[in-house]
Amino acid sequence: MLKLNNVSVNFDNDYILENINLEISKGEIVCIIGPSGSGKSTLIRTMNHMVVPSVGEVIYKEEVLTKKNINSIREKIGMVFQSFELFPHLNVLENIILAPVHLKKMNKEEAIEKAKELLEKVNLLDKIDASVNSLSGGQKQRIAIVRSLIMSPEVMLFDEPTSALDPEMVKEVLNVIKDLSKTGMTICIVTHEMNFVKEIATRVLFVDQKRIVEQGTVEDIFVNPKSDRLKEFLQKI
Amino acid sequence: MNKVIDKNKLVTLIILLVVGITLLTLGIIFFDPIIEGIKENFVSNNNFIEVLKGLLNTIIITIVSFIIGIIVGMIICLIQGLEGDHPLILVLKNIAKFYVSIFRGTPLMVQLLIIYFVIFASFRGDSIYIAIIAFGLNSGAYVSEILRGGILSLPKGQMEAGRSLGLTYPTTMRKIILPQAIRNALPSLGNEFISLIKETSIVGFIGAFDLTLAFRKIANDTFDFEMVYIVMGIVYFVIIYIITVLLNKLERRLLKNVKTK
Repeated sequence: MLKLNNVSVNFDNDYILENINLEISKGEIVCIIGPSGSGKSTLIRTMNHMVVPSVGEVIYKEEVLTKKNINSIREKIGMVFQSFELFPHLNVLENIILAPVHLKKMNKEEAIEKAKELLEKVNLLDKIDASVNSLSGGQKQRIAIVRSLIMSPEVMLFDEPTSALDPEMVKEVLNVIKDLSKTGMTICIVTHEMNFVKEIATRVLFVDQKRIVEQGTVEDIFVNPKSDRLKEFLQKI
Repeated sequence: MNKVIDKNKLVTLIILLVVGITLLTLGIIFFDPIIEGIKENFVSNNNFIEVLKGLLNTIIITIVSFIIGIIVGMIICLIQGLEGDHPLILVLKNIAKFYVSIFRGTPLMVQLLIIYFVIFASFRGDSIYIAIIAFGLNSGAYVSEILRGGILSLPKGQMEAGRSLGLTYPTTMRKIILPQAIRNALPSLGNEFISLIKETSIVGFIGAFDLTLAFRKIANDTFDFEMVYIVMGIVYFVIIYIITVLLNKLERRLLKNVKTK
Protein backbone atom coordinates (compact mmCIF):
# COMPACT_ATOMS: atom_id res chain seq x y z
CA MET A 1 0.00 0.00 0.00
CA LEU A 2 2.76 2.39 0.97
CA LYS A 3 6.22 1.79 -0.36
CA LEU A 4 9.54 3.54 0.17
CA ASN A 5 12.08 2.90 -2.58
CA ASN A 6 15.71 3.67 -1.79
CA VAL A 7 14.71 6.73 0.19
CA SER A 8 17.46 8.99 1.49
CA VAL A 9 17.05 12.37 3.11
CA ASN A 10 19.88 14.76 2.87
CA PHE A 11 20.09 18.03 4.75
CA ASP A 12 23.04 20.41 4.56
CA ASN A 13 25.16 17.62 3.02
CA ASP A 14 24.38 15.43 5.99
CA TYR A 15 22.28 12.29 5.71
CA ILE A 16 19.34 12.13 8.11
CA LEU A 17 18.03 8.95 6.50
CA GLU A 18 20.02 6.61 4.33
CA ASN A 19 18.73 4.19 1.77
CA ILE A 20 15.44 3.09 3.29
CA ASN A 21 13.42 0.35 1.60
CA LEU A 22 10.10 -0.41 3.17
CA GLU A 23 6.74 -1.70 2.13
CA ILE A 24 3.65 -1.44 4.30
CA SER A 25 0.68 -3.60 3.32
CA LYS A 26 -2.99 -2.92 3.98
CA GLY A 27 -4.04 -3.58 7.56
CA GLU A 28 -0.53 -3.69 8.95
CA ILE A 29 0.32 -1.98 12.22
CA VAL A 30 3.92 -0.94 11.89
CA CYS A 31 5.64 0.46 14.96
CA ILE A 32 8.90 2.33 14.62
CA ILE A 33 11.17 2.32 17.66
CA GLY A 34 14.70 3.52 18.22
CA PRO A 35 16.79 6.05 20.12
CA SER A 36 16.24 9.81 19.81
CA GLY A 37 17.83 11.38 16.77
CA SER A 38 17.97 8.10 14.91
CA GLY A 39 15.73 9.31 12.09
CA LYS A 40 12.41 7.76 13.19
CA SER A 41 10.44 10.97 12.83
CA THR A 42 12.06 11.81 9.51
CA LEU A 43 11.21 8.33 8.28
CA ILE A 44 7.52 8.62 9.08
CA ARG A 45 7.45 12.16 7.68
CA THR A 46 8.77 11.02 4.31
CA MET A 47 5.73 8.74 3.99
CA ASN A 48 3.44 11.69 3.22
CA HIS A 49 6.19 13.96 1.89
CA MET A 50 6.13 16.19 4.97
CA VAL A 51 9.84 15.66 4.40
CA VAL A 52 10.59 15.25 0.72
CA PRO A 53 13.25 12.59 0.09
CA SER A 54 16.42 13.85 -1.59
CA VAL A 55 16.88 10.48 -3.28
CA GLY A 56 14.39 7.71 -3.97
CA GLU A 57 10.63 7.70 -4.16
CA VAL A 58 7.56 7.12 -2.06
CA ILE A 59 4.82 5.13 -3.74
CA TYR A 60 1.23 5.09 -2.53
CA LYS A 61 -0.93 2.49 -4.26
CA GLU A 62 1.14 2.40 -7.47
CA GLU A 63 1.30 6.20 -7.54
CA VAL A 64 4.65 7.92 -7.05
CA LEU A 65 4.26 10.95 -4.79
CA THR A 66 4.99 14.18 -6.64
CA LYS A 67 4.32 17.87 -6.07
CA LYS A 68 1.25 17.57 -8.28
CA ASN A 69 -0.55 14.68 -6.63
CA ILE A 70 0.65 15.25 -3.07
CA ASN A 71 -2.41 17.12 -1.85
CA SER A 72 -4.89 14.51 -3.04
CA ILE A 73 -2.74 11.68 -1.67
CA ARG A 74 -2.43 13.41 1.70
CA GLU A 75 -6.22 13.29 1.96
CA LYS A 76 -5.80 9.52 2.11
CA ILE A 77 -2.92 9.55 4.60
CA GLY A 78 -3.82 10.99 7.98
CA MET A 79 -1.10 12.31 10.24
CA VAL A 80 -1.03 12.99 13.97
CA PHE A 81 1.77 15.03 15.49
CA GLN A 82 3.59 14.97 18.78
CA SER A 83 2.51 18.53 19.58
CA PHE A 84 -1.15 18.04 18.44
CA GLU A 85 -1.13 21.15 16.27
CA LEU A 86 -4.80 21.91 16.65
CA PHE A 87 -5.69 25.31 15.22
CA PRO A 88 -6.09 27.57 18.27
CA HIS A 89 -8.13 30.23 16.49
CA LEU A 90 -10.90 27.72 15.76
CA ASN A 91 -13.06 25.73 18.16
CA VAL A 92 -13.13 21.94 18.29
CA LEU A 93 -15.83 21.44 15.65
CA GLU A 94 -14.27 24.00 13.29
CA ASN A 95 -10.91 22.29 13.65
CA ILE A 96 -12.44 19.00 12.61
CA ILE A 97 -14.61 20.08 9.70
CA LEU A 98 -12.26 22.66 8.15
CA ALA A 99 -10.48 20.30 5.75
CA PRO A 100 -13.38 18.08 4.61
CA VAL A 101 -15.65 21.06 3.96
CA HIS A 102 -12.98 23.09 2.23
CA LEU A 103 -11.87 20.19 0.05
CA LYS A 104 -15.52 19.50 -0.81
CA LYS A 105 -15.39 15.95 0.47
CA MET A 106 -18.73 16.60 2.15
CA ASN A 107 -21.04 19.52 2.79
CA LYS A 108 -21.13 21.24 6.14
CA GLU A 109 -24.11 19.33 7.56
CA GLU A 110 -22.59 15.97 6.64
CA ALA A 111 -19.28 17.01 8.12
CA ILE A 112 -20.90 18.06 11.39
CA GLU A 113 -22.78 14.74 11.57
CA LYS A 114 -19.58 12.78 10.91
CA ALA A 115 -17.67 14.90 13.43
CA LYS A 116 -20.26 14.18 16.11
CA GLU A 117 -20.08 10.48 15.35
CA LEU A 118 -16.29 10.43 15.65
CA LEU A 119 -16.27 12.63 18.76
CA GLU A 120 -18.69 10.21 20.37
CA LYS A 121 -16.22 7.41 19.71
CA VAL A 122 -13.41 9.22 21.49
CA ASN A 123 -15.75 10.34 24.32
CA LEU A 124 -15.42 14.03 23.58
CA LEU A 125 -18.83 14.88 22.17
CA ASP A 126 -19.40 17.28 25.06
CA LYS A 127 -16.38 19.31 23.94
CA ILE A 128 -17.71 19.97 20.45
CA ASP A 129 -18.03 23.75 20.97
CA ALA A 130 -15.11 24.09 23.36
CA SER A 131 -12.12 26.29 22.67
CA VAL A 132 -8.95 24.41 21.88
CA ASN A 133 -7.10 26.20 24.68
CA SER A 134 -9.47 24.83 27.30
CA LEU A 135 -8.61 21.19 26.52
CA SER A 136 -6.06 18.96 28.23
CA GLY A 137 -3.23 17.43 26.22
CA GLY A 138 -4.92 14.06 25.99
CA GLN A 139 -8.14 15.66 24.80
CA LYS A 140 -6.27 17.74 22.25
CA GLN A 141 -4.57 14.69 20.82
CA ARG A 142 -7.85 12.78 20.58
CA ILE A 143 -9.37 15.75 18.73
CA ALA A 144 -6.35 15.77 16.42
CA ILE A 145 -6.97 12.11 15.67
CA VAL A 146 -10.62 12.84 14.90
CA ARG A 147 -9.53 15.70 12.65
CA SER A 148 -7.51 13.22 10.60
CA LEU A 149 -10.11 10.48 10.65
CA ILE A 150 -12.90 12.63 9.27
CA MET A 151 -11.07 12.60 5.93
CA SER A 152 -11.58 8.80 5.88
CA PRO A 153 -7.87 8.08 5.42
CA GLU A 154 -6.62 4.65 4.41
CA VAL A 155 -3.38 4.98 6.31
CA MET A 156 -2.75 6.76 9.62
CA LEU A 157 0.68 8.03 10.58
CA PHE A 158 1.38 8.81 14.24
CA ASP A 159 4.55 10.71 15.03
CA GLU A 160 5.18 10.17 18.76
CA PRO A 161 1.52 10.85 19.62
CA THR A 162 1.97 10.51 23.37
CA SER A 163 5.43 12.01 23.93
CA ALA A 164 4.10 15.45 24.87
CA LEU A 165 1.45 14.13 27.26
CA ASP A 166 1.29 13.86 31.03
CA PRO A 167 1.62 10.20 32.04
CA GLU A 168 -1.99 9.92 33.13
CA MET A 169 -3.23 11.03 29.72
CA VAL A 170 -1.15 8.63 27.67
CA LYS A 171 -3.60 5.82 28.10
CA GLU A 172 -6.68 7.61 26.80
CA VAL A 173 -4.84 8.39 23.56
CA LEU A 174 -3.36 4.91 23.20
CA ASN A 175 -6.81 3.41 23.70
CA VAL A 176 -8.13 5.43 20.79
CA ILE A 177 -5.28 4.21 18.61
CA LYS A 178 -5.87 0.67 19.78
CA ASP A 179 -9.57 0.87 18.89
CA LEU A 180 -8.55 2.21 15.52
CA SER A 181 -6.20 -0.70 14.94
CA LYS A 182 -9.09 -3.10 15.46
CA THR A 183 -11.00 -1.55 12.56
CA GLY A 184 -8.44 -2.78 10.06
CA MET A 185 -6.87 0.62 9.51
CA THR A 186 -3.30 0.59 8.21
CA ILE A 187 -1.22 2.31 10.87
CA CYS A 188 2.35 3.43 11.17
CA ILE A 189 3.42 4.81 14.52
CA VAL A 190 6.62 6.17 15.99
CA THR A 191 6.57 5.68 19.74
CA HIS A 192 8.52 5.08 22.91
CA GLU A 193 5.68 3.18 24.59
CA MET A 194 7.14 -0.32 24.38
CA ASN A 195 4.27 -2.08 26.12
CA PHE A 196 1.91 -0.55 23.63
CA VAL A 197 4.11 -1.72 20.76
CA LYS A 198 4.08 -5.27 22.12
CA GLU A 199 0.32 -5.11 22.35
CA ILE A 200 -0.64 -3.90 18.91
CA ALA A 201 2.24 -4.16 16.44
CA THR A 202 2.12 -6.59 13.54
CA ARG A 203 5.61 -5.50 12.63
CA VAL A 204 8.29 -3.57 14.50
CA LEU A 205 11.05 -1.55 12.88
CA PHE A 206 14.15 -0.72 14.86
CA VAL A 207 15.72 2.43 13.46
CA ASP A 208 19.18 3.60 14.43
CA GLN A 209 21.90 5.63 12.78
CA LYS A 210 19.66 6.73 9.92
CA ARG A 211 18.82 3.18 8.84
CA ILE A 212 16.36 0.39 9.57
CA VAL A 213 18.66 -1.88 11.55
CA GLU A 214 16.27 -4.69 12.19
CA GLN A 215 12.61 -5.51 11.63
CA GLY A 216 10.23 -8.31 12.42
CA THR A 217 7.34 -9.36 14.61
CA VAL A 218 7.09 -8.34 18.24
CA GLU A 219 8.68 -11.63 19.18
CA ASP A 220 11.55 -11.25 16.69
CA ILE A 221 12.39 -7.83 18.04
CA PHE A 222 11.77 -8.10 21.77
CA VAL A 223 12.50 -11.77 22.44
CA ASN A 224 15.07 -12.71 19.83
CA PRO A 225 16.91 -9.55 18.86
CA LYS A 226 19.75 -10.26 16.44
CA SER A 227 21.82 -7.10 16.15
CA ASP A 228 24.00 -5.91 19.02
CA ARG A 229 22.65 -2.40 18.69
CA LEU A 230 19.07 -3.57 19.28
CA LYS A 231 20.10 -5.75 22.22
CA GLU A 232 21.83 -2.77 23.77
CA PHE A 233 18.80 -0.57 23.15
CA LEU A 234 16.42 -3.08 24.72
CA GLN A 235 18.60 -3.42 27.80
CA LYS A 236 18.45 0.29 28.43
CA ILE A 237 14.69 0.56 28.39
CA MET B 1 -17.18 44.37 40.72
CA ASN B 2 -18.48 46.16 37.63
CA LYS B 3 -20.48 48.58 39.71
CA VAL B 4 -17.42 49.63 41.69
CA ILE B 5 -15.53 50.38 38.49
CA ASP B 6 -18.49 52.34 37.15
CA LYS B 7 -18.61 54.44 40.32
CA ASN B 8 -14.91 55.16 40.05
CA LYS B 9 -15.34 56.18 36.45
CA LEU B 10 -18.22 58.44 37.36
CA VAL B 11 -16.20 60.14 40.08
CA THR B 12 -13.27 60.69 37.69
CA LEU B 13 -15.64 62.11 35.11
CA ILE B 14 -17.20 64.51 37.59
CA ILE B 15 -13.80 65.67 38.81
CA LEU B 16 -12.67 66.21 35.24
CA LEU B 17 -15.84 68.17 34.46
CA VAL B 18 -15.47 70.37 37.52
CA VAL B 19 -11.81 71.03 36.78
CA GLY B 20 -12.62 71.70 33.15
CA ILE B 21 -15.41 74.14 33.90
CA THR B 22 -13.25 75.93 36.50
CA LEU B 23 -10.36 76.26 34.06
CA LEU B 24 -12.69 77.49 31.35
CA THR B 25 -14.20 80.10 33.68
CA LEU B 26 -10.74 81.16 34.81
CA GLY B 27 -9.71 81.27 31.18
CA ILE B 28 -12.61 83.49 30.22
CA ILE B 29 -11.95 85.85 33.14
CA PHE B 30 -8.17 86.00 33.22
CA PHE B 31 -6.99 84.89 29.82
CA ASP B 32 -9.12 86.95 27.56
CA PRO B 33 -6.22 87.35 25.11
CA ILE B 34 -6.26 83.60 24.46
CA ILE B 35 -9.95 83.63 23.65
CA GLU B 36 -9.42 86.65 21.47
CA GLY B 37 -6.55 84.87 19.75
CA ILE B 38 -8.63 81.81 19.07
CA LYS B 39 -11.40 83.99 17.68
CA GLU B 40 -8.93 85.88 15.54
CA ASN B 41 -7.16 82.81 14.22
CA PHE B 42 -9.85 80.22 13.85
CA VAL B 43 -13.31 81.76 13.89
CA SER B 44 -12.75 84.75 11.65
CA ASN B 45 -12.62 83.96 7.98
CA ASN B 46 -14.20 80.60 8.84
CA ASN B 47 -10.70 79.26 9.35
CA PHE B 48 -11.95 76.41 11.52
CA ILE B 49 -13.68 75.01 8.46
CA GLU B 50 -10.28 74.84 6.78
CA VAL B 51 -8.98 72.94 9.82
CA LEU B 52 -11.87 70.49 9.59
CA LYS B 53 -11.23 70.01 5.87
CA GLY B 54 -7.56 69.33 6.60
CA LEU B 55 -8.47 66.94 9.39
CA LEU B 56 -10.83 65.05 7.07
CA ASN B 57 -8.08 64.74 4.45
CA THR B 58 -5.56 63.56 7.04
CA ILE B 59 -7.99 60.87 8.15
CA ILE B 60 -8.78 59.83 4.56
CA ILE B 61 -5.10 59.64 3.60
CA THR B 62 -4.30 57.60 6.71
CA ILE B 63 -7.16 55.13 6.44
CA VAL B 64 -6.98 54.52 2.68
CA SER B 65 -3.20 54.20 2.64
CA PHE B 66 -3.37 51.86 5.64
CA ILE B 67 -5.82 49.64 3.74
CA ILE B 68 -3.52 49.70 0.69
CA GLY B 69 -0.62 48.97 3.02
CA ILE B 70 -2.35 45.91 4.44
CA ILE B 71 -3.19 44.56 0.99
CA VAL B 72 0.30 45.21 -0.40
CA GLY B 73 1.86 43.88 2.80
CA MET B 74 -0.14 40.66 2.60
CA ILE B 75 0.79 40.11 -1.04
CA ILE B 76 4.48 40.66 -0.33
CA CYS B 77 4.30 38.44 2.70
CA LEU B 78 2.64 35.64 0.70
CA ILE B 79 5.27 35.95 -2.04
CA GLN B 80 8.08 35.77 0.50
CA GLY B 81 6.59 32.61 1.94
CA LEU B 82 6.25 30.79 -1.40
CA GLU B 83 7.89 27.42 -1.60
CA GLY B 84 9.72 25.87 -4.49
CA ASP B 85 12.49 26.75 -6.91
CA HIS B 86 10.43 27.64 -9.98
CA PRO B 87 12.19 30.58 -11.74
CA LEU B 88 9.03 32.69 -11.57
CA ILE B 89 8.86 32.20 -7.82
CA LEU B 90 12.49 33.21 -7.44
CA VAL B 91 11.94 36.35 -9.53
CA LEU B 92 8.85 37.30 -7.50
CA LYS B 93 10.68 36.69 -4.25
CA ASN B 94 13.55 38.92 -5.31
CA ILE B 95 11.17 41.66 -6.39
CA ALA B 96 9.46 41.50 -3.00
CA LYS B 97 12.78 41.63 -1.20
CA PHE B 98 13.93 44.59 -3.32
CA TYR B 99 10.63 46.39 -2.71
CA VAL B 100 10.89 46.06 1.05
CA SER B 101 14.52 47.13 1.19
CA ILE B 102 13.88 50.19 -1.01
CA PHE B 103 10.93 51.42 1.02
CA ARG B 104 12.57 50.72 4.34
CA GLY B 105 15.91 52.05 3.21
CA THR B 106 14.94 55.59 2.19
CA PRO B 107 13.18 58.41 4.05
CA LEU B 108 9.45 58.62 3.49
CA MET B 109 9.83 62.26 2.47
CA VAL B 110 12.21 61.25 -0.32
CA GLN B 111 9.79 58.56 -1.49
CA LEU B 112 6.93 61.04 -1.51
CA LEU B 113 8.89 63.57 -3.57
CA ILE B 114 10.13 60.97 -6.06
CA ILE B 115 6.69 59.45 -6.52
CA TYR B 116 5.12 62.88 -7.04
CA PHE B 117 7.77 64.65 -9.09
CA VAL B 118 9.32 61.72 -10.99
CA ILE B 119 6.95 58.79 -11.32
CA PHE B 120 3.72 60.79 -11.55
CA ALA B 121 5.34 63.87 -13.08
CA SER B 122 2.61 64.23 -15.69
CA PHE B 123 -0.23 63.72 -13.21
CA ARG B 124 -2.66 66.63 -13.13
CA GLY B 125 -5.22 65.64 -10.48
CA ASP B 126 -5.49 66.25 -6.76
CA SER B 127 -2.15 65.44 -5.16
CA ILE B 128 -3.99 63.74 -2.31
CA TYR B 129 -4.19 60.64 -4.53
CA ILE B 130 -0.44 60.62 -4.96
CA ALA B 131 -0.02 60.99 -1.21
CA ILE B 132 -2.29 58.00 -0.65
CA ILE B 133 -0.32 55.90 -3.15
CA ALA B 134 3.03 56.88 -1.66
CA PHE B 135 1.94 56.19 1.92
CA GLY B 136 0.18 52.98 0.93
CA LEU B 137 3.27 51.62 -0.82
CA ASN B 138 5.52 52.64 2.05
CA SER B 139 3.19 51.17 4.63
CA GLY B 140 3.00 47.95 2.59
CA ALA B 141 6.71 47.36 3.13
CA TYR B 142 6.36 47.76 6.89
CA VAL B 143 3.14 45.75 7.14
CA SER B 144 4.77 42.87 5.26
CA GLU B 145 7.55 42.80 7.86
CA ILE B 146 5.01 42.97 10.70
CA LEU B 147 3.01 40.07 9.21
CA ARG B 148 6.18 38.09 8.58
CA GLY B 149 7.00 38.48 12.26
CA GLY B 150 3.49 37.31 13.13
CA ILE B 151 3.89 34.24 10.92
CA LEU B 152 7.33 33.40 12.29
CA SER B 153 5.92 33.52 15.81
CA LEU B 154 3.66 30.54 15.00
CA PRO B 155 4.89 26.98 15.50
CA LYS B 156 6.04 25.35 12.26
CA GLY B 157 3.69 22.47 12.95
CA GLN B 158 0.63 24.60 12.16
CA MET B 159 1.57 24.70 8.50
CA GLU B 160 2.42 20.99 8.57
CA ALA B 161 -0.89 20.11 10.18
CA GLY B 162 -2.81 22.00 7.51
CA ARG B 163 -0.79 20.48 4.68
CA SER B 164 -1.05 16.96 6.14
CA LEU B 165 -4.84 17.18 5.79
CA GLY B 166 -4.44 17.71 2.06
CA LEU B 167 -4.94 21.48 2.08
CA THR B 168 -2.83 23.43 -0.40
CA TYR B 169 -0.21 25.95 0.66
CA PRO B 170 -2.37 29.02 -0.16
CA THR B 171 -5.41 27.54 1.59
CA THR B 172 -3.43 26.68 4.71
CA MET B 173 -2.00 30.18 4.66
CA ARG B 174 -5.41 31.80 4.33
CA LYS B 175 -7.41 29.60 6.70
CA ILE B 176 -4.87 28.70 9.35
CA ILE B 177 -1.70 30.77 9.33
CA LEU B 178 -2.83 34.32 8.46
CA PRO B 179 -5.76 34.54 10.92
CA GLN B 180 -3.38 33.68 13.74
CA ALA B 181 -0.51 35.77 12.39
CA ILE B 182 -2.72 38.85 12.09
CA ARG B 183 -3.96 38.35 15.63
CA ASN B 184 -0.37 38.18 16.86
CA ALA B 185 0.54 41.21 14.77
CA LEU B 186 -2.39 43.31 15.96
CA PRO B 187 -0.47 45.50 18.43
CA SER B 188 2.22 46.24 15.83
CA LEU B 189 -0.39 46.98 13.18
CA GLY B 190 -1.99 49.46 15.59
CA ASN B 191 1.37 51.17 16.01
CA GLU B 192 1.80 51.29 12.25
CA PHE B 193 -1.58 53.01 11.94
CA ILE B 194 -0.63 55.60 14.54
CA SER B 195 2.72 56.33 12.95
CA LEU B 196 0.95 56.71 9.60
CA ILE B 197 -1.22 59.49 11.03
CA LYS B 198 1.87 61.32 12.21
CA GLU B 199 3.81 60.72 9.00
CA THR B 200 1.02 62.10 6.82
CA SER B 201 1.89 65.55 8.15
CA ILE B 202 4.46 65.86 5.34
CA VAL B 203 1.99 65.55 2.46
CA GLY B 204 1.81 69.34 2.33
CA PHE B 205 5.14 69.25 0.49
CA ILE B 206 3.41 67.95 -2.60
CA GLY B 207 0.46 70.26 -2.10
CA ALA B 208 -2.01 67.82 -0.57
CA PHE B 209 -4.24 69.74 1.85
CA ASP B 210 -4.01 68.01 5.21
CA LEU B 211 -4.29 69.11 8.82
CA THR B 212 -0.74 70.46 8.96
CA LEU B 213 -1.10 72.43 5.75
CA ALA B 214 -4.40 73.88 7.00
CA PHE B 215 -2.70 75.25 10.11
CA ARG B 216 0.29 76.48 8.13
CA LYS B 217 -2.00 78.43 5.82
CA ILE B 218 -3.81 80.00 8.77
CA ALA B 219 -0.52 80.93 10.43
CA ASN B 220 0.70 82.51 7.22
CA ASP B 221 -2.51 84.57 7.05
CA THR B 222 -2.64 85.73 10.66
CA PHE B 223 1.11 85.66 11.48
CA ASP B 224 0.19 84.28 14.92
CA PHE B 225 2.59 81.32 14.57
CA GLU B 226 2.85 80.66 18.31
CA MET B 227 -0.82 80.09 18.93
CA VAL B 228 -1.65 78.36 15.65
CA TYR B 229 1.16 75.84 15.88
CA ILE B 230 0.53 75.07 19.54
CA VAL B 231 -3.15 74.43 18.75
CA MET B 232 -1.98 72.23 15.85
CA GLY B 233 0.13 70.18 18.26
CA ILE B 234 -2.79 69.83 20.66
CA VAL B 235 -5.17 68.75 17.88
CA TYR B 236 -2.74 66.04 16.68
CA PHE B 237 -2.16 64.84 20.22
CA VAL B 238 -5.87 64.60 20.98
CA ILE B 239 -6.61 62.69 17.75
CA ILE B 240 -3.81 60.23 18.31
CA TYR B 241 -4.71 59.81 21.95
CA ILE B 242 -8.31 58.98 21.07
CA ILE B 243 -7.23 56.50 18.41
CA THR B 244 -4.76 54.84 20.77
CA VAL B 245 -7.51 54.30 23.32
CA LEU B 246 -9.87 52.95 20.66
CA LEU B 247 -7.20 50.59 19.28
CA ASN B 248 -6.43 49.27 22.75
CA LYS B 249 -10.10 48.55 23.31
CA LEU B 250 -10.43 46.85 19.93
CA GLU B 251 -7.33 44.79 20.56
CA ARG B 252 -8.50 43.66 23.96
CA ARG B 253 -11.89 42.68 22.59
CA LEU B 254 -10.45 40.71 19.67
CA LEU B 255 -7.98 38.87 21.87
CA LYS B 256 -10.61 38.14 24.49
CA ASN B 257 -12.99 36.68 21.92
CA VAL B 258 -10.36 34.24 20.80
CA LYS B 259 -9.58 33.07 24.30
CA THR B 260 -13.08 32.52 25.62
CA LYS B 261 -14.63 31.26 22.40
